[in-house]
Amino acid sequence: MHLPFSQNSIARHLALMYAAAAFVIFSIVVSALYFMEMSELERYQIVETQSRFSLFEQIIKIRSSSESWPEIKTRLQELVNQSGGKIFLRIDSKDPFFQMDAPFTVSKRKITKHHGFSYKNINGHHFRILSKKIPAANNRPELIISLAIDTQFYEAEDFWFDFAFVVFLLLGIIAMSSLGWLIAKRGLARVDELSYHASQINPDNLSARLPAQDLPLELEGLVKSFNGALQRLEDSYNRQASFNSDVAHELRTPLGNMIGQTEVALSKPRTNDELCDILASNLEELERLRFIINDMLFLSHADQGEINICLQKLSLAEEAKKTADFLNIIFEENNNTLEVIGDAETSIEPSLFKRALTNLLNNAVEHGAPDAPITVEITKKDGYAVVTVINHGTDIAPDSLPRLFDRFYRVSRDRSNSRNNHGLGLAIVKAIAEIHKGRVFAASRDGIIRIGFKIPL
Amino acid sequence: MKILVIEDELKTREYLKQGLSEQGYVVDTAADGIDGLHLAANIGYDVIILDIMLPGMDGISLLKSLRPSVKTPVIMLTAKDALNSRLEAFNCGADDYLIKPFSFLELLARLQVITQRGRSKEETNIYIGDLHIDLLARRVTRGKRRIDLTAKEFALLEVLARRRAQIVSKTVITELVWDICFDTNTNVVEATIKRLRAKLDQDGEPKLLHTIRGMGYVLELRS
Repeated sequence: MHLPFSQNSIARHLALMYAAAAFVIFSIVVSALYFMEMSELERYQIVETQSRFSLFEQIIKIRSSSESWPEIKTRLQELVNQSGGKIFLRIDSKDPFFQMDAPFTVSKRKITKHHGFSYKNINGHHFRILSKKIPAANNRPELIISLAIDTQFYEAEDFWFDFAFVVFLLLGIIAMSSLGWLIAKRGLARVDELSYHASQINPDNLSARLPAQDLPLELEGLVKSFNGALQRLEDSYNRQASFNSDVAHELRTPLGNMIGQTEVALSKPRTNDELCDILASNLEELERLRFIINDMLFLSHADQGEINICLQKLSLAEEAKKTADFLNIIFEENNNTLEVIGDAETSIEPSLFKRALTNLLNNAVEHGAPDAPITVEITKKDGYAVVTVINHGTDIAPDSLPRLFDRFYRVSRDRSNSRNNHGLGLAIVKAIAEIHKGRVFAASRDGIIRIGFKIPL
Repeated sequence: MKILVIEDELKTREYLKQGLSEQGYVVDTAADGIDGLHLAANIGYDVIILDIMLPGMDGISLLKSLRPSVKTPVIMLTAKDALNSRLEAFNCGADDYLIKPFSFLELLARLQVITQRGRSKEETNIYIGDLHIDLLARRVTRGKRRIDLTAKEFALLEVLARRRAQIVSKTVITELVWDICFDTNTNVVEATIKRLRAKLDQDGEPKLLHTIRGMGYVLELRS
């Protein structure tokens, strides 16, 4: 069990990503709300400015003459004062009598254009200003009325609104990250469970598997691969174990012979000839041991990919004929005939190829029927050069066929013929095929046995 | 012919010394790398047999400090036949190598190749008792009797005749006659020997082709 915030914790990563996602989403929502709020506020300010403006406009328009002006001006001033500094009124006119001052000005251009809203910053105060030209009437000259509203009165509301937004944003992010972490932990609970099961697997308990029922889709593939890997490990472990016992058995026979013979020899005085005979017999057994050990080392190097190969593009029929030439005398002794048919050219290590074919042909002579033809058939099929040794003989049982290439496997368990055959010949053929990135095969039907290997063209 | 054997395993060292001495070589031995290097650098040997795993100084380092000033041929003995140590041995200037467990006959064969290297001693006629082999005409006679041999039988006889009075192992025969350099589990050599012997040694004639059980074959006239 690791700490929730230790390095590389998936829960932590997910919580962080949730927080980031929450930040982005809330920011977008809050910004949208903020802009909506701002535009609503602006609209509200404009409406208020317009309504207040139209009130002033009415007062000025209805009774506007130079006689009534001082009264109107007082009335206007009252209205301005009532607002408590929220609104300001400025009246520009060519006649100073009609002028009314305020702490802002309107540009000359605004006057000539005599209409429209503007937004001004005066001494840190933001003013929304509406200006309008009122044409001359009676003895009153043309006037430009400008009404300004100090937006500071709205900004107070605005501040609390912004503050609430920020607080909600932060709370939202914190809530999302914590929930995210909890969700991730809950989602990953199955992983913890699998990890517990995996920790229970050890060499004494190799058949154990991770539970594959009711798994979430995402973990199914992982568990299947993991169980597959365990199956392969178990198979190879079991093969290794039976290989070890086969090796021990195979080595025990010559060792037993040597120990027994030597003990018998030493228990009584012997003549020189008798001793020489025992030494020679021991040497034969030792040669046999050396042979087995060398073949096992070859297989072990092949397993580890340590065989040094130098590929040459050669005619397989030519190499097969050289091998046949070597084994010719054995065929003659058994009255077998040998024929090489077909050809293919591919990259091989000639000595390994000959070794594989020697083993196959030697098997064909030893296990096949005498006085019968043996054929080496070389064909090209599906991108492979296929080399098949065909001989006549007793059919091999179907369940034995796939095991023929296993180390120390023998069709009959009585270890007949074990003097010349220690059960590694076909395993070496398989190793050689695999060194060439090829495969082996075996078939047996109606007294015809076909065993061989194929190498990519 | 002087040979230095540098080998730490006592039994191996002893049997190599005895076996090589009996073959007429003068043998010195060293049990570790430091003594071995001292002897190899100061005494002129014809061949050095050098184990790779040695106390004091391993065979590869020993060979490195020997070359290039000492050019004595070196046969390396190695228990690990992994590709790397083989390549390493050759790169450091070894002339040949043998993988343990090796057969003593194999070692003798390699020694012969190395010590005869450079001496062109091509025989054209070989006489053993009343057997005459004309290597150029590829003709074999025994007394007045002409012997007809197949190509492989002749090649086998030639291999044995060139090494007359020496034991030649099956491995060496397979390599020299059929150019097959891997261990085979076949009776090819036995069968070919049987046929050659039938043609060579007929009833009433002294036997020339002898089987040394467990080791190999010898072609010689025994008194």
